[in-house]
Amino acid sequence: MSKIITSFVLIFFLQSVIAQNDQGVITYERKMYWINVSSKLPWMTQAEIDRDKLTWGKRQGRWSETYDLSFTPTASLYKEKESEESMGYSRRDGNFLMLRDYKAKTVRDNLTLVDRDYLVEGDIPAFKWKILNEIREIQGFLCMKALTSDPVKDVPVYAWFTDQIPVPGGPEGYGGLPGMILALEIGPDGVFIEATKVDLESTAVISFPKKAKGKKVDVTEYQEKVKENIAKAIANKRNPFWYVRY
Amino acid sequence: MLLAYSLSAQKLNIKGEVQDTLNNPLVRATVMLLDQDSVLLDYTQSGLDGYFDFKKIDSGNYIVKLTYVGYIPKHLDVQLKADNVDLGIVQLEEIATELMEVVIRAAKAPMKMFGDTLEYDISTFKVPDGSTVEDLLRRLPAMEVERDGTILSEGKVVSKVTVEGKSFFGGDPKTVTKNLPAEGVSKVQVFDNKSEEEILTGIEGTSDEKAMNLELKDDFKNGGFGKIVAAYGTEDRGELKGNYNVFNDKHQFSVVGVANNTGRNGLGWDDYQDFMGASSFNFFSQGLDYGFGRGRMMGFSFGGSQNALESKISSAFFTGSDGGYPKNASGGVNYNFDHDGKKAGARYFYNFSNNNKITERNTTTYYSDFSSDSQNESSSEDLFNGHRAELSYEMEIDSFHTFMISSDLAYVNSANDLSSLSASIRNNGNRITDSDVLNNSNFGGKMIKTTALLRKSFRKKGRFLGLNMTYVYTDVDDNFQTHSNISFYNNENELDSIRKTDRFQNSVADKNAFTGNAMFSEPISKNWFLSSFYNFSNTNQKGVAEVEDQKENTMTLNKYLSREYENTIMYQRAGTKLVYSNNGFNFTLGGAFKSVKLAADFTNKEAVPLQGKVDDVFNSWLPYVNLSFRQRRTFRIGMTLDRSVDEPSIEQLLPIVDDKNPLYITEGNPALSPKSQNRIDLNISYSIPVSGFRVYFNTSYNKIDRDIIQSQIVDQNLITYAKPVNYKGGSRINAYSGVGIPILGEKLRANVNLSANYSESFGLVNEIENETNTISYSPGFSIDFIPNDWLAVYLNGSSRKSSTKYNISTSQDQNIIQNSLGLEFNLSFGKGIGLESSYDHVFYSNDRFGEDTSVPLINASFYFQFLKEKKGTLRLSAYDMLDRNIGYSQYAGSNFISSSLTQSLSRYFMLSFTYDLRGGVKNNVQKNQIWISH
Repeated sequence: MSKIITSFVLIFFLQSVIAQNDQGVITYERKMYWINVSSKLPWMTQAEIDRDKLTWGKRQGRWSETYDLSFTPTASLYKEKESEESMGYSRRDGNFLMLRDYKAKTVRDNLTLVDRDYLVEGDIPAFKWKILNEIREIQGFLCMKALTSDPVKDVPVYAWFTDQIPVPGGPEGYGGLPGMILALEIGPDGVFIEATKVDLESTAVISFPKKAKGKKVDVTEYQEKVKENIAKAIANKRNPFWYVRY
Repeated sequence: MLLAYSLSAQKLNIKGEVQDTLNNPLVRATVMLLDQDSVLLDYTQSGLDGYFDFKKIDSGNYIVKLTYVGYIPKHLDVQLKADNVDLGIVQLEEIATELMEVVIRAAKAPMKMFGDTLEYDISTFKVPDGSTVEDLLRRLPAMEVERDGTILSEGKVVSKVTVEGKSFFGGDPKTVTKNLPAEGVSKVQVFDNKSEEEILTGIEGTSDEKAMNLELKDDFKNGGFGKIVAAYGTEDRGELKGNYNVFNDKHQFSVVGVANNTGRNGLGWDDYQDFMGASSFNFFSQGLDYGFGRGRMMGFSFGGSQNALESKISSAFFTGSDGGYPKNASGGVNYNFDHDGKKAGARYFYNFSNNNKITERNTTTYYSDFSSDSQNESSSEDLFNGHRAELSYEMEIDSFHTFMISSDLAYVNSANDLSSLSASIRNNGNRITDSDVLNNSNFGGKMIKTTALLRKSFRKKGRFLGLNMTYVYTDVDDNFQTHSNISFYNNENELDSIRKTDRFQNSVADKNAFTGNAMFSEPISKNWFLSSFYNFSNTNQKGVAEVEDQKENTMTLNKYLSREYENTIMYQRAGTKLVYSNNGFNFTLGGAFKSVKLAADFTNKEAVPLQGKVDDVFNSWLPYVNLSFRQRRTFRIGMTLDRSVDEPSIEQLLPIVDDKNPLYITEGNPALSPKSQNRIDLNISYSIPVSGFRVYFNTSYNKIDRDIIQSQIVDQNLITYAKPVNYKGGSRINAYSGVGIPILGEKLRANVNLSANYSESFGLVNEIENETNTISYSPGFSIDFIPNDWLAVYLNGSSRKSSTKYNISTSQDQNIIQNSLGLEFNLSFGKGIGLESSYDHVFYSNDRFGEDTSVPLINASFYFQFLKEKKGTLRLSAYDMLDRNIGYSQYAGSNFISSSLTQSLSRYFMLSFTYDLRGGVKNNVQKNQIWISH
């Protein structure tokens, strides 16, 4: 009898430990620190960098965009959520939708690069993650720091992932860690993305719109196109990151 | 014995069991397999019994890292050679509760744990300003500071402190902690202090002491830069300019000064940003009246006359030159503070200018049965002195409320002397009038303007309230003298009469204006928004003018022209707009009701005083429609329809005759109704940012449905009596379009643009309607050729042809043409030596004035950079090498055309020396995107 009670207690205890942390919707806030980005461009003189820092330095990070990541143990969908605070003015910079299928290990993205729409389909790109030793709490979850390199811009990217949400997903198409990425630092000081709300109760709805339009390319082709655009802009002494996502 | 060596690498296993220090299995702990460089290769979770394994691994060196919530991550080196590895029981230690709660959960600070090093980021800890490191340490968990300053970490004494890895004043912890300010520290690292013996023997003893290292904050470490320029040239031209700037994360201080007699401003965009720093684009004093725009900070306008009483300090940086022989001196100091949600700024600026001008003007005026030619020669001297101060304070009270307050103060005075000779003759050769005038005026003014603004956002997203108020007080004192002799001739070309005037006028006026604005925005649903605004302003002006005439050495009070007045203008506007916005498409429909009340009281000093009163209210309804579409960064289209109403001014309404100018006498019309016009505006643009291709098109159509125009009656002496009347209005169409094409990437670019205008306007002369139609075309082009780092060539040209037809007399139809061609050529020879040169040629042509005028200007300068880091530059410049500079302009009006010539600075040479603290820019041939100031 005591054994039955113990096993019930054990199962009950385990249920609470093995919480349903594997599906839901995470809301992220994305901020771009544009002076940090522009000061790394090759043609900027120290005078121009100083002047920008002096004039704009403290205003960076005041504006942010909101994104939603809906996820289940087998898939995730990342898209922009139009801010209700835009005060009645709507502005779209093109399409932005990222779908990840963890079972089939494929991606399906609808992205706009400068002025063209693309439908990117192919295998999930493999990230080379270096696991570091820092831990931090984000939205009540304990996260660990990892480092990789952005495949297109070749800059360091730090990710804070939590194994308390055991899904290998994250914002901006990053993933492949033993837990959900709740924060990203790209540049590492150019773009900061952090989870502002983690909702594990709502049912995640993951569906790719049928009428998504764009030229079909695979992941490598798309990354090449982005690299080309960045290189062309830099050769023309224009800051590519005003219209190419950093 | 099997071969120890095989063609395919051996596939081995690593396994183990995760437990806590009480021997309980840790279930669903994350176990990661990393290579030697900590790169993630694989991961798994421990099972119900704490068991984990990795199968089919190649031999080699690995790291197994285990993590579990609330426990210190474990890091194990594993060497896989020939056999499977069983790590056995791996125990994880709990993170100390204090560290967990205080550092991780409360301070939300990242914590680094690796082996025996524990590190946390102090920049997220809240410490009062002025705290030292000792105060900071008292707040850290597991850290204690005893009364004598001894530091203990986890109970063990910290015996050594380093700063950024370096010993600080001998490394005595108490020196460091008592002297270093906390706000400079970003990280505190504490680790076991290995005693000398341990270092030598390598044997780790149980150290009773710890060492601490402090890392300092990195961003915006103290910066500073500055530049000084001194130049001297022929014709006694000189320039002296300097600016200096120091800043750190919280404070910015800058100073700027320039003095020159070259007529060029000396200050430009770069100088503006260097001086204003973080206040450069502080939009808060613009767009205060809300209205139909987007409500917040749209369109920051620069420029405007720097000498006007109510101008801002920024105008001094952007004014252009005006012809004549100017002398300028200006300078100021600026301080900005920005920390912790509070921003403050204070600046003072002084401006002095002195200009001498000699101008010749020719005007031909057309009447229905004759025309007149008048020639005027005038010489003037202007002197201006202005002191300005601007203060501002902005505070984020909390995440919903922002409050700002600012104050502008100005104290200006100016003096102007004018002497002018004119003669006018009829087309049959008979003289009409001759005059010689001598004017002198002295003006002094004070202004204080204060604005306060509150922005409130609510918990409901999209709901927003904006409130602001402004108070302006101005006080002006004007002394004006005019001495004139006007000779009138009759139809037989004989002298008919001479009128001599010697008049002295002193006016004082003060103005009090109060403005209040409010706006409230409410989101109705996901895509619909409703926004309403209310504007109120009340302006009260009081003035007294005392006029005296001098006749044969006696001064008599001119009781007719001496007057007292008080005007009050009360303005109110209330409006609402409904906005639909979705997916890049925005549609706004709005309307406003405007009410303007004009009241004036006017009296002069006659025995039976001439009195004038105005008491009118003008109400109008103003609709507004706007559509805009922007679905991606490259394409935009927008359209606006609106109506505006301009009330007549008090001067236009007052039924008083004003003959201050004996040749042009005006009278008010109390029966005037406001001017109203409707406008439709369309703009489209498409651009490809990467390559720089751009095409844009703007057009607007403006129809005045009721206008206020001057009805002029001209008598045989050509004295004009003018009175404003309502009349049908004309219309105007503008179109402006352009294309920017990159031909060879950034090396060769071309821009082509075209602007076209058609306007129709009406005038009334001697009660005969005169319709004027003007069509003008202005095509232009520019080509930029920058093939490499040492050569840049900029070519531009434009042509403007303006054709004006007068229906009263088609023989006076005008064609005015102004063509210009410009070339800029910059060459860098390397080693800091370079050449900059420019050629600008303007051609003026007019089928009325016979002679065409052509003004070619060539400027060139050689520069030589020297000193370490090219901090010094020596420059030899030549301005207007062909000695052809003249200030020429031509204009066609409703029934007249005129051209004027102002003497201006022509050819001179200058040698200048620049010292730049930041170091010069190497081989920079490219123009700045905006304006260059040297």
